[in-house]
Amino acid sequence: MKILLGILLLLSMLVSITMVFLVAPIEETMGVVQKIFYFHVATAWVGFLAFFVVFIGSIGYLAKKSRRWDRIAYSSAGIGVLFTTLCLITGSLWAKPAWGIWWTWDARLTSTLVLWFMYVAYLIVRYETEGSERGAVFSAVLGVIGFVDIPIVFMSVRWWRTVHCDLVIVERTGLTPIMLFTLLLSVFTFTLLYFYLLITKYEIAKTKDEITSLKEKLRE
Amino acid sequence: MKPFNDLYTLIKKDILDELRTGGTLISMLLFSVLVVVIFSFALGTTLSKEKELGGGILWLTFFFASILGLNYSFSVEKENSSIKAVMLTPVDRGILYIGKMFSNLIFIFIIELFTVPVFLVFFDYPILKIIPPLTIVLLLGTAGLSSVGTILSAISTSTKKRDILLPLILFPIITPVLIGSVRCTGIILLGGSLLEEAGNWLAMLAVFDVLFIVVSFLIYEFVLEEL
Repeated sequence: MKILLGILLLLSMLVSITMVFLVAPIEETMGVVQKIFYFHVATAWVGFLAFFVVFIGSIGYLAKKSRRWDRIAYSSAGIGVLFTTLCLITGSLWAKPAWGIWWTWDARLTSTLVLWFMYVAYLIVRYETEGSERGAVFSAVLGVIGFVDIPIVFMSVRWWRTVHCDLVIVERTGLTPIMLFTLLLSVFTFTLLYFYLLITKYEIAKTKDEITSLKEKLRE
Repeated sequence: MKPFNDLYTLIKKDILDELRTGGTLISMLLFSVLVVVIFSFALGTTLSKEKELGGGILWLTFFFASILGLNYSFSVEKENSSIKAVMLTPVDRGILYIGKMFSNLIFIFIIELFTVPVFLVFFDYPILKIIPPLTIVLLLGTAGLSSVGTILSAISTSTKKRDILLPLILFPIITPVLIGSVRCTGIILLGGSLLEEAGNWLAMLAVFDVLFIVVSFLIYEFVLEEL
């Protein structure tokens, strides 16, 4: 299963990279730098997907108290933070040439940053309670509260920004069909990558649990 | 009504505890007044009336002060494992949460009530005109703060990092409360009408409060079992 996914991922990556760099046309106003868009959107998507999986895993763990759900939530949180970090970095790299600034307190940027802080805190709680049952429960609670919070954060940040003057208006430039296709393909590839990483992290967590229980048996 | 009697007893317990051991509330109050004074050193004694700095100063002060109170509210329960005794009583776990949330709300609110006049005097605002509408914002904002703060302080006091962890997990989640309260307070300080200009913010604060009181009510028992 994992090997199959791996092969599919590799193929999809090769096609995506070809599409992004060789096939997709260069954007008129922004030039080559616009290509980062295919990575930026895809990482943002994976970030949200990962946090949604954390939410599902957290609820599953609180309901069933099975380590399996906890492993899913924990593995997904790490990947989510990684991809949100990449999303913030690629966004910043794109903003400088496109808007002339590295960062702006735009609603979407701000909410992503708040989200990033939330799930980094999740990982810290996890780290502080390494491996214990307690840590699993605490992070599950955070996983639920954090996800429920996301819509309110989005809404409040949007209102907060619209009251002030808008520094930068994100131009909705039309995408050509080929660009749209490349974007969708890139999102698809990143989603595959997410699941591949999730399975890998899950297996590592499972092995860790097994080692701990074996060590305990040895001690007895 | 049993739940209300239970709630009353729980809140009374926290207030009595505070009165007998004493000191926390006074320290929190001194801290928040001190922060306001420090802000006036940092920003000058008269705030530009154009900007809504006042709201920001007030709410940052309350956020920092409440961190002190929230951290204390659980570490005192864990001393001598008295939380175990509370859990042994035949009271619904959700009610235990509501009780703790209300005592935190009351403590933080008392601090705010004493800090606000000092702030208004120091920065030369019309006191009588501002306090009544501001009370509504204080209540809504503080309810949001203590709804999430109560359950998260239970978590943070059970980890190794303890005191430093609470702001890290609490502040990102209550960003909407900070933004909403600061906006409302800013409008009041500038002499605007709260209901007309900040109606949507008040609604957002209320939604936040209700949502997180319900969510925490439902999941509090999982946290309690691990303390």
